[in-house]
Amino acid sequence: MQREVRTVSLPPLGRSRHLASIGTIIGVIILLVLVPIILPPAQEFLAQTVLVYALFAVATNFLIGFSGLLSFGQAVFFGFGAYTAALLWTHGVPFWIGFIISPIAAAVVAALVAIVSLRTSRLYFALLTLGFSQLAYEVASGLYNLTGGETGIPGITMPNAISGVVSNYEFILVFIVAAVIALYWIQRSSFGMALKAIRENPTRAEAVGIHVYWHHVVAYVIAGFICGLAGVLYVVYQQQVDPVLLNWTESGEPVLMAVLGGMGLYLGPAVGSFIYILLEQWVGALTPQWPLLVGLVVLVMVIVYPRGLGGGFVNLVTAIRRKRRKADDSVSIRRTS
Amino acid sequence: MTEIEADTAPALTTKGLTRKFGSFMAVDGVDVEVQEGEIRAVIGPNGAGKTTFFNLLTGHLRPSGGEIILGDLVISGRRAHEVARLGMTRAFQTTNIFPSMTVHENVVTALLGYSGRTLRFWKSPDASIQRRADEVLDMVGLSEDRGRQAGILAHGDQRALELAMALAPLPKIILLDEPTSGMSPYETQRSVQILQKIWRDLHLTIVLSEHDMEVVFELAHTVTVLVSGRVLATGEPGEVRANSEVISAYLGGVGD
Repeated sequence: MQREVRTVSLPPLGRSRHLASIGTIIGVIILLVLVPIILPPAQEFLAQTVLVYALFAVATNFLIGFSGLLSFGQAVFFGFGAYTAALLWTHGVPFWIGFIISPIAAAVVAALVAIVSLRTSRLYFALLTLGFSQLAYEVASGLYNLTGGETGIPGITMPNAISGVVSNYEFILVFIVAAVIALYWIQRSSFGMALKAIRENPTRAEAVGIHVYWHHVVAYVIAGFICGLAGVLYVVYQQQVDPVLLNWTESGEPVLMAVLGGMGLYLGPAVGSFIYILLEQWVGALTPQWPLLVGLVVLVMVIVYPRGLGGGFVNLVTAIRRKRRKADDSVSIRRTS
Repeated sequence: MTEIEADTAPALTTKGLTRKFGSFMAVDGVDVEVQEGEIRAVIGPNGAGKTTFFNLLTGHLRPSGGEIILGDLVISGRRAHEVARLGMTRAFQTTNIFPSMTVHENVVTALLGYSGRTLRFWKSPDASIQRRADEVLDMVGLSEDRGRQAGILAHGDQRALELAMALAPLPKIILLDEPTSGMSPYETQRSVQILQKIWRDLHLTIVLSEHDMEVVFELAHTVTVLVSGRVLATGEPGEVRANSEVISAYLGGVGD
């Protein structure tokens, strides 16, 4: 009896859940649009950092969580996008041309790294991407004449239209939301299904005619492009670059964010970015040893709660829903009996 | 079967197919000719090289020597995804599915893969593929489970899903590695019926390896006996069953 009641009440619940999540997302976007109007400039700068790293982390998780590619070298593409934009803009290239070329350049580098690294096994792939990150850092800090070495490139000016506090923020927001939606779309496409299939069972994927290596290369290039775009947007609000952007520790950040927020959820890493940067800000103000706390939180997360905070939130919502549904069920049973 | 042999080229031929692991000859100079529309069983004791033979056919292993010819195309040395797209698909001995996807998504993904439509970044699988997946699920009797997560299906149903994934693109040849292993007698009987129906309806060529002799004699038109990587005998089930060498090397050992 109870079972029947439940199956009957399922379809409308499913639809309302769909509407609820779309509603939540639209609410969050409206809130994000209002940030520069509500918050003081210093906080707004922090919000921009959260947004840019959210995109960086979501793109990284597209590889790690969704495609099963353990890449520890995503800072290469983030940093390469940022450096390309910085160099082009400081050498008189028009804003939009630099803005478009830089992520493409990052994608080209990603293609080269992927073609070489993906020929190896999982573990060696992870190590190689780590190696590329360190290589990129050394190159950027070594080529003093071009990149300004350890100092980097400061004082990059933005066009007037986006140099205002509000317009600068909204510009970044538009591109981040667009990129996050685009990547979500790709994840749901035929290509996304193939990637998921490869992650679940590469032998089976191959046996149904999917070229595993090639799909991984393409996934890596897409993620490289988005990470490059995040790097360009970083320059838009920071207006400077330095080689730390390319360092392997920088590559670790989006991975940690993904773990914190939940790798199983598409927007989990974005939640992770929020938490990570708040921790950095608040605990970092108290002690320079703030990474210690982040490490501790990540450790606890992995052991106790592998679904991350985002996943925890979803669990909580489902639990409440189930409880409510159970209550509804018992009411309807009472009514029918 | 003899009528078919007379006028058509073999669907699948191997010539001196060999695979060494170190100094061990897992498959040793195997010559096989499978006619179009035939159901061929490959039998043999454990370690006879049946699975290695299958892995060679589908490109999961590279041969150390010899040739594999699909229709009139030499396919030895091709990779697994290419062989699948050329029309020889496979169901594995141990269940090999995409466990966290739904039953329907498993077949849709397979169809996308075979048709080379997985590099579409904007489109989700179109209606014709969705419909085709439903037809295939209907064929193997999984229609009602289409929305369920594949990983939680019963063993027999997972094997049926495997079959659906191999069957989906209407391949020229389908290879079934121990299609009834680990099944209950009821599930085995159901599988045999499904296979017979599919063979009748689709005029497929089927190559299967099998432990269960009942299944072999019920399904196969021709039986090839592999022992220590070599072909010991090939013939109609009745002939093979009567072959004294086969009895002593294999069937006798089982106590048949």
